[in-house]
Formats: sequence, C-alpha cells, structure tokens
Amino acid sequence: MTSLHEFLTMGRFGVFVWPAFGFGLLVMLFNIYLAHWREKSAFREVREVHRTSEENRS
Amino acid sequence: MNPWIQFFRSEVGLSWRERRRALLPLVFFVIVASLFPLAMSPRPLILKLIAPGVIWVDVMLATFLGLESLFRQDYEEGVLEQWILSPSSLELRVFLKVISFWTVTSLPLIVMSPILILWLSFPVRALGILLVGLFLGTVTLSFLGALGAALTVSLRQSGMLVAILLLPLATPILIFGAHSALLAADKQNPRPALYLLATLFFLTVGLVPKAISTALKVSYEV
Amino acid sequence: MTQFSLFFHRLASPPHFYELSKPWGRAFSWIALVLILVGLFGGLWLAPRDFQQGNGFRIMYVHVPSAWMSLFVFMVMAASAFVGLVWRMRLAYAVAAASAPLGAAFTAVALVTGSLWGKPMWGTYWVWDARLTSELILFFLYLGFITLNRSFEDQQTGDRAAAILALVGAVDIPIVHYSVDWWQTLHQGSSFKGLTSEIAPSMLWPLLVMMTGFMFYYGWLVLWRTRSEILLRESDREWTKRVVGS
Repeated sequence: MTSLHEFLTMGRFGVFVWPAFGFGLLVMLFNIYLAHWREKSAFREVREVHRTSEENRS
Repeated sequence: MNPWIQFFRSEVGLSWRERRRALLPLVFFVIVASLFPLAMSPRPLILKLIAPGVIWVDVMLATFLGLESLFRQDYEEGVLEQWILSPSSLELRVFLKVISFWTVTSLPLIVMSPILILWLSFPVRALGILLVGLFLGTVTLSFLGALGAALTVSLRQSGMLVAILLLPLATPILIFGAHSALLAADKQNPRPALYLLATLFFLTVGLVPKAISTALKVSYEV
Repeated sequence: MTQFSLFFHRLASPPHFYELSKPWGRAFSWIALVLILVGLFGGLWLAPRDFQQGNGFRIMYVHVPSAWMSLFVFMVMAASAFVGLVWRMRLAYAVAAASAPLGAAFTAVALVTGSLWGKPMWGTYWVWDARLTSELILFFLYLGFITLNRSFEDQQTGDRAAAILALVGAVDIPIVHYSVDWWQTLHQGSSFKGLTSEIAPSMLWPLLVMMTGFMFYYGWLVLWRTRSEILLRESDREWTKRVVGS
C-alpha cells in the first residue's frame, strides 16, 4: 500500500474488497450477538424449569 | 424355509398389499419428467442435453419422497421395538427391508425409464448405460433415503426435512449417475463414471445399514 | 490417574466445564481480537499488491480463513458427535450443537466473499467452480444438521440423530469434493486455477495470522455457546440453579 487513497479505493477493486471484509465483519459481530442472546434465553428457560419444578413440589 | 427369506417375502408382500401407495413414486416420476419439455422447449437438441439430468433428479426425488415413511408404520405399531430387542441382527433386517422396498418401488421406475427416454429424445444407444447407472443409483439412494426415514421416524411431518438432510449427501451419486448417461449419449467413455458410482454403491450398501440401525435405536432410548 | 487424564476427566463434567471455560473463553477473545487486527493491518496495508490481481487479491485474507474454518468446524462437529455417540457424553453433544451455527456462518462468509472475489477475477459473481460448489453443499449440510437437531421434542433424541448425520456427512464431504472436482474437469477443463499460485512470504504471514485469529475467535464463541447448550441440557440438575441464580 503506497497511499491512503490507494488504500480506500483498493486500486479499482474497492467495490469488491470492502464489501467482502464488511460482510465478514458483520457476520462475526452478529455471531457474538447471537451467542449472547442464546445465553440469555438459556438462562430464562432454565429459570422457568426450576420455577415450575419448585411449584410442583409445594 | 430360512427365516430371513421369509422375512423378505413378507416385507415385499406387505408393500405389495399397499401397492397403491408404493406406486405413487412411479406416477410422480412420470409426471415430473413430462413437465420439463413443457417448461423448457420441445426441441430435441435441448431435450437431449437435459434428459439424463432430468431423469436422475427425478429418480432422486421420487425415491426420497417414497421412502420418507418407510419405518413409520413399524414404529407406530411397535414392531420396530421388537426388532431392536430381538437377538437377531437389526442391520440385516434393515437391509432386507430396504431391498424389498426397492423391489416394489424403484424397480418400476427403472422399467419405466425407457419410455421417458423417448419423450426426452435421448439417444437409444445410451439406454444400456442409463439403466445400469439407474440400477446402481436407485439402490444407493434407497439406502440413503432409509437413513433419512430412520433419523426422522418419530417426527410426524418429515417429508421436507428428509429432503433437506439427504439431497446434499446424495450429490455425488447424482453427478456420477447423470454424467455416465450424458457421456454415453455423447459417444464418450462412460465407464469411469459408472465405476465411481459402483464404488459409492458398495460403500453405501456396506456402511449405511449400520447407520440406519443406530438411528432407529435413537428413537427408543431415553 | 495421571495429572493429564484427571484434567480431562474433570473437564468433561458439565459444572466444571462451565466454570473452567469462562477464563479460557475470555483469553481466547483477546487473542482473537489482537490477531485479527494484526492480520487485517498486515493484509490490507502492509502486504504488497499482487502483480496479476492488483489489490483484489486482498479478499483472500477473509475468504481463505473462513473457508478453512468451515471445514475445520465440521471436523470438530463430527469428532464431538462421535465422542457423544460412543461415550454418551452430554458435553460432546453440546459442543456439536454449539459448533453448527458457527460453521454455517463461516461457510456463508466463504461463499459471499468467494463470489465477490469471483466478479473481478472471472467476470461474474458465480461460476460453478469446484471449491465454491463444495462449499455450497457444505452449507446445506450445516443447515440439515441444525434443523434436525432442533426438530425433536426431546433434545437428546435430536442430539443423537444429528450426531449420526454429522458422521455420515463427514464421510460424505471428501466424496462430494472429489465428485465436484471430477465434474468440473469434465466441463471446464482445469482453466480456473487462478486462485492458487505460489504465494510470497510478505503476503503469506498476514494470512496465517488471520487463520489463527479465526481459530481463537471460534474457540471463544464455541465455549460461550457450549455453556448455554449445557445449561439447557442440564436444566434438571441442581448445579444449574446456582448458575442462573434462582
């Protein structure tokens, strides 16, 4: 890479290079969000299971 | 009489008694093949090119849709549980069950395929290769289809799911099968493709019954 | 028992795994972040322009690691499916179930970036290139695994059924790859070799750094997701109560 201009336009390949990296980044961030969401919903579900079993016992 | 031969005969008899259901794949097969000339073009040049692909995709779908409920009745009536508990080999039972289903359902497809060849202007000289390929392919696909049926035996609505599971697994069979016919029609050497298809045939027949019986056991263990 | 096997024995017990995996995951996340940033800087700025492909070749730095991960994750999935089926280990099923969506995501990235790379190289977004095609079929296999795993009332049945599918798929993937290769040579000759050539060290090191970074990223997320999967599978046990705080 020789100049900032070349970096931003990637020669004439900017239209392909940047969406490729952008998509990759987006999916990777979304995966993190999904893992977070899955943990949250797992917690909720397990709490629910414990609550109903508690109720059944009493 | 050997109990396994007896088992096989009773299985064929059972499918035959339900022949109206068993013949549905055949009707499906013929109808789908007749749609392609209508949807694309009746020009023989085009039809000749797509014929092997159409017939092979068609055979694959007909086999998978027909096999989807292979173990359903045995599962619901508890026969399957007896098989699993019985000391005799579950793999051999599964093997015979699939072969008996193949005899009643897939064999008619192969017998019918020469007619489709005429519809699709496929050169008659390649017919032999197509039939050999279809024989190897339908047996292989039947075992794969039985695996899908076994994996989903306890689910009520499984047709689409079975297709999603199996179609990617079956692509090599489709590639080698359709191309053996295509090469033969092109006056090229179709043997490598047929040998590869035969390799898959032996691999599947040897290994998949084991996978099917493991899958069947899954739905009974808690 | 030796120290080493004792470590694994304890790791396989879900409550231990749950606690032990947290610091590991945290460490992996930082390593992944650093490696990926270094790899990006190296790949997008430091690496010299390719004399044939210009700057277009830089898509490689996201495409190749994703494609590699898509296969690696499937191998992890099949291996844990095997362990689950043979040794009846719940943890192994949880790892397989946690891996599948990640593997599918890597496969999707490999497909999209491959298409974006294809446009300047081949002049079209999609050619039925052997590698892209096998990647597509791999994606379908992942989808099948995920759907089958979640189709059953009873999670154990789903886990076992999907494990069998993963094993059959693992046998099938090399066959698919070979068949697609064979099919390709039949139709196009071997003219599409543009993507592989000798690679200069100055271009290679960012790629290796990126690949390692992706591995750690996967390691981090798979530990995280496995924790959730374990919680769901062990919701009837006492120890989960403590974890979710009810």
